[in-house]
Amino acid sequence: MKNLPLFSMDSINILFRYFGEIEWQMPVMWLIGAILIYLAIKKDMEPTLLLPMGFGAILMNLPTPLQQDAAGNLVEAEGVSEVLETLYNAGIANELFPLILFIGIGAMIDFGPLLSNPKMLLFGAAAQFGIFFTYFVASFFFDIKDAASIGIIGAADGPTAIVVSRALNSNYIGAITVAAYSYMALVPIIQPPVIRLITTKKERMIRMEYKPAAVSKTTRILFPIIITVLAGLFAPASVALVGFLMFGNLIRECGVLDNLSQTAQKELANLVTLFLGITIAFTMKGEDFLKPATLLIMGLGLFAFVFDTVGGVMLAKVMNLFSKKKVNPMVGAAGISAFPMSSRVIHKMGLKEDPQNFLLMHSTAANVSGQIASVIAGGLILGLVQG
Amino acid sequence: MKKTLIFILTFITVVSVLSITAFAEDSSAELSEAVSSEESSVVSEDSGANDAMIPAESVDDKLPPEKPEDGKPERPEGRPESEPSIPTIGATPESSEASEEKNEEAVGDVELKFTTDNMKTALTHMGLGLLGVMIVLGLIATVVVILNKTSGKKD
Repeated sequence: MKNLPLFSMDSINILFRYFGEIEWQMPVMWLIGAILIYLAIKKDMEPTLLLPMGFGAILMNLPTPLQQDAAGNLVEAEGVSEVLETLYNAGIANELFPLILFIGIGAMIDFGPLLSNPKMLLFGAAAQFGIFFTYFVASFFFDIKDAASIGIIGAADGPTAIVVSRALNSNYIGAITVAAYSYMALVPIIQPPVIRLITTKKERMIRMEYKPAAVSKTTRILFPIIITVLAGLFAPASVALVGFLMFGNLIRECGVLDNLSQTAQKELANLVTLFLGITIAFTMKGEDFLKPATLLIMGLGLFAFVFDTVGGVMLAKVMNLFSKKKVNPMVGAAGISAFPMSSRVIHKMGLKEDPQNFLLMHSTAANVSGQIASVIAGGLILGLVQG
Repeated sequence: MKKTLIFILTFITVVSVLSITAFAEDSSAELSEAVSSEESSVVSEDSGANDAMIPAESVDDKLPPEKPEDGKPERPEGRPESEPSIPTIGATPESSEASEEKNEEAVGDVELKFTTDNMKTALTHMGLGLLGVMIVLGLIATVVVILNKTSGKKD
């Protein structure tokens, strides 16, 4: 390193040399990062993930530090992207972080309302329509693997979206993850207008009686085990996802592992979420992220959420044609995996139409069935696409 | 609510404008590259003597990529390896360059174009997928009903 006088153009150039390294994509990604942070803090939209992702987007789009090599030439040195790449390879490329997070999610979910009213499981299945329809539409623009990965945004489940897009080696993991988490947070904005569009006021006012059947402890314990076995038989590719989710639930329901259950729900889930958000940002390098495809993926993600809602509502309408006990079609829309946002949205919409109409327990049942259905749908997609 | 909607729409608009700009830049770069390669091919076709004047890089560019020594088939462009390597944080500049190359390869440039080639496969997967989810969830519902009826002791 040669000695430079303190006040010379060369010294000033060294101080400001990285300003010349700024490419147009960088400030745009800073803006996107700032928007994600704003949505997380000000709008309370999935802050645990959008905030780390937003900060990570800024982190990934700063100039790479330079250093002199043996010959005295300036070369790019180790930057923050190497650290994030290490985390990415250690936790996302091998699907470890999302799967571990599933243990925490499983431990958080109470399947009680669903077990006492099992027909709600059908809404979970119907509300996956958006995944498959979006997959079909995306196939006009993308290859099969990318189209399937984009379709899985409709799972309304971040970890599932990461696992499937990663397993299918999608080129758009970053955009898919951002879309999945953003739209999950936007469920209160996306679902109500769609539901209002496809239902009448009379349908939205249908009251549903809630008479919960008592659920035995045996059922609660056997449920996660049986689901894992069924998933393994019908969609082996989903076993990792379903298995970890159900393992978490078994810890919760067994009654002898309360400490582990609490740890899975709090410390484990928080720790993994912390790393997951910032690590996903590794895929948000401006030059790769700011492409026409990203915009199309964002649009298709919204499309998936809209048709998930449509699928659930339509099944409820069809069921009403044959059933004496009418189902409020709005409950069908809660069959997506965004838990508990979707069930709360439906409950609030019900109260708005009729202050005496309490749909929370029904919509919660449909919502937790969406958790199971989305994971199984993810596994089925993996199985179908990978052959 | 309205504010958030406006915010999101603005966000999407900004991203779309920038994406289109990026797309336009890519297209013009590809066009100029295509024109220059056309020109160089015209020069090489003019006379065999000119072949010697073509830079080594451009000749290399036209050669088919070498088959890997281990005999494994080459991965398609733009697809990351299924088995990721875990880099060391304190890596040397050489390894850093290697990982950078890997990143470039991993992301790749994927062309976006309308095609109906995948329609049939996607439609089949859509039907099978929906049917599969319905069957599995229906089966789970049946099992839960049976469990509820057979398990005696309630909570």
